[in-house]
Amino acid sequence: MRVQVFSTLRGALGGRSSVELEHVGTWSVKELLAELEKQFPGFREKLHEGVSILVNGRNIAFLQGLETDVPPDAVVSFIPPSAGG
Amino acid sequence: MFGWIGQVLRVDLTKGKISVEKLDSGLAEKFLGARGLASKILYDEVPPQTDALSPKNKLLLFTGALTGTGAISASRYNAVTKSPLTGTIAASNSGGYWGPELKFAGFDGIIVEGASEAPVYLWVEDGHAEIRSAAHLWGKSTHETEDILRGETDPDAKVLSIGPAGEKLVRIACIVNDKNRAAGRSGVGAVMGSKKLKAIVVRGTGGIKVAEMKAFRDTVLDILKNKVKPNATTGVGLPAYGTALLVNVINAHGIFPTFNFRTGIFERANDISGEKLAETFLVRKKACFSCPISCGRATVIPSGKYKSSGEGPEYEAAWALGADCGIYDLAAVTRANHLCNELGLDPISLGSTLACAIELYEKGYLSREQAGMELKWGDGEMLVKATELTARREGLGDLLAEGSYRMASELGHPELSMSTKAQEYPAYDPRGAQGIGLNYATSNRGGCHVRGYMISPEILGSPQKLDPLTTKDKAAWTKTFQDLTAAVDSAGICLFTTFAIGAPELADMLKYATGIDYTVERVLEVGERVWNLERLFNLAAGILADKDTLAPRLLNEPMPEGPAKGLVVKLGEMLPEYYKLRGWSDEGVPLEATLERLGLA
Ligand code: SF4
Repeated sequence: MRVQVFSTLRGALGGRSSVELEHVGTWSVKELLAELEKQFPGFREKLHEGVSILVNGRNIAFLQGLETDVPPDAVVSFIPPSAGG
Repeated sequence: MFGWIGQVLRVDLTKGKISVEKLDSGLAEKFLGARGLASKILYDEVPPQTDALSPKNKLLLFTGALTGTGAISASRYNAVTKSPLTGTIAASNSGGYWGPELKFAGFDGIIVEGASEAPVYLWVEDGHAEIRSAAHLWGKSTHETEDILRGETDPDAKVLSIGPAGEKLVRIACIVNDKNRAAGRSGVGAVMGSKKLKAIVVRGTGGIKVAEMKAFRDTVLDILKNKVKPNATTGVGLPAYGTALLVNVINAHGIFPTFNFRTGIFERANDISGEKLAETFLVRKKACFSCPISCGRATVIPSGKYKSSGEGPEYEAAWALGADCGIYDLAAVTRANHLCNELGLDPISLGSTLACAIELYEKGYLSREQAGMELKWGDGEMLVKATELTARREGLGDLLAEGSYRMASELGHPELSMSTKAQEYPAYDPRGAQGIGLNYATSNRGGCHVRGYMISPEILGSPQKLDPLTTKDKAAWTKTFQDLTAAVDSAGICLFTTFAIGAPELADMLKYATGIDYTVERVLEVGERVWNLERLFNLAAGILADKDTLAPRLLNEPMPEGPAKGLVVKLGEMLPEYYKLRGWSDEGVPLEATLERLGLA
């Protein structure tokens, strides 16, 4: 599974724009967040209000929110609410 | 008058005559200025069937009621004319400093009519104007032209000009002011070129009277402090990363058009992203007049074959010159963008037209002989060369200069042009954001995102989240966005303010600036009035409801991958509802009652 963060959120992954996570079976977004917090302490804190979470390009707001399934081969994106063009 | 200056300059280039006219205050109140007021004047004075490149077409450069007042981001003017690209009404908007300077010089707008026989420029200084020879400027870049004209007039003058592209009547030529700001779309630069008008130089030392100074200033400060600064987009994202921050975001949503809209995911998106630009060529940010957002990016390529300095690329340009052509060489993309500013080309239409040419070439519809060079995805050198050739209409450039629709039609495959009403789409694949698809189809100037930026609710979640993959409620939202945008454009402030403010703040600023009792309802009604007037122009020009459509690829070819996999744009589910909400007939014609309600009957 690949987790990617953009622009102002890069600090959340220690300055990296993406990380690969190994796991078998399907997590929920909530479980993924817990795992990220374990690997990158302070991760959740950096997800300030308004950050969108996409699982394979779909905003979890239109799926099952934090209960949305994250399959092992998913790409999960964390997007700050700071975009416009 | 308050807010407005109350004077308009009329310049007849055929006769070499200049006159000063009083601004009609009733019309100003109804149409605000800029896009709205200039469209009304164009509608009244230019028959919509007029050939866009004939002397009978007029070019209006108009500011809005708020331009130059110190309201938030009040930097804008609009270039309004009949478009040589789309045949529709064109209204292209630009910031920088030129618009405010025109008001300081004593004019709300300039109406340019007729055509000169020899190249000229217009020099406007504090209430006076004169036409001067531009023989020595013809063929020069916009940057050279600005430098020379400042030297000839006033070092503090503000310059608007066309580059070689406008001179050569390239249908995707823009008008450039303050070196790197552009009235970019719909070929307005070609209209200026057809009049042999190289530049308009303005210097003003006057002020703008505001009706209620204290209330106006308090309102602006309140908006700045409580809306614009705390907002994640206008207070953080745009200032820090500029618009190109969107590259990775839109790609992650799977709607970043790649290879001429064949897919919505570009593997190498990060290489042309705002983050990458910040790590490489960005030297500082830049702001337009009275703008706290500062989304402009000054960029320098310090060495190598693309060595140059300028501004951008913005998100749209990074996409069109990059992903759409499969190019991830940021130096080549940045150089091509600098060239677009210098030569006076719209980078969105240029990139999309080149992408179309590459596909035509790949499919064997455009031969090596016709193209005069090899065309292939991902070739940065080809991009830079094609940009130069297009501005000068040489070789392949003569084909590209016509825009993708005419080029592809000429070669027998109009379906490969990613455009509506012959104007190329911007950087969002509507198969994965249905509302922006409806906006593209109904935009009064053809393929365009800044007529009704449905990406805001569908992707950015502002002012509320709408599921991008569904059509529900999209007609109503699209109409509201289109109307509000028309009001914002007509007031003379930057559309980017609307990430943080809406109709209530706009109404307050207008009320205190002009002394006229603008309310939320009145402001939205101005927008709706402008929208319907533009529609009337287009209908009279022969552009009917059958043109409210999308490229066949978007309607018939399912998105091959990503979150929108399997989807096409379901335009048929949205368009009838949209017509109904607009108060139009099933044929897309405004009903008599609608026109009466809006004072357009
Ligand atoms: S937001 Fe950007 S484009 Fe708009 S006025 Fe400010 S600097 Fe100019």
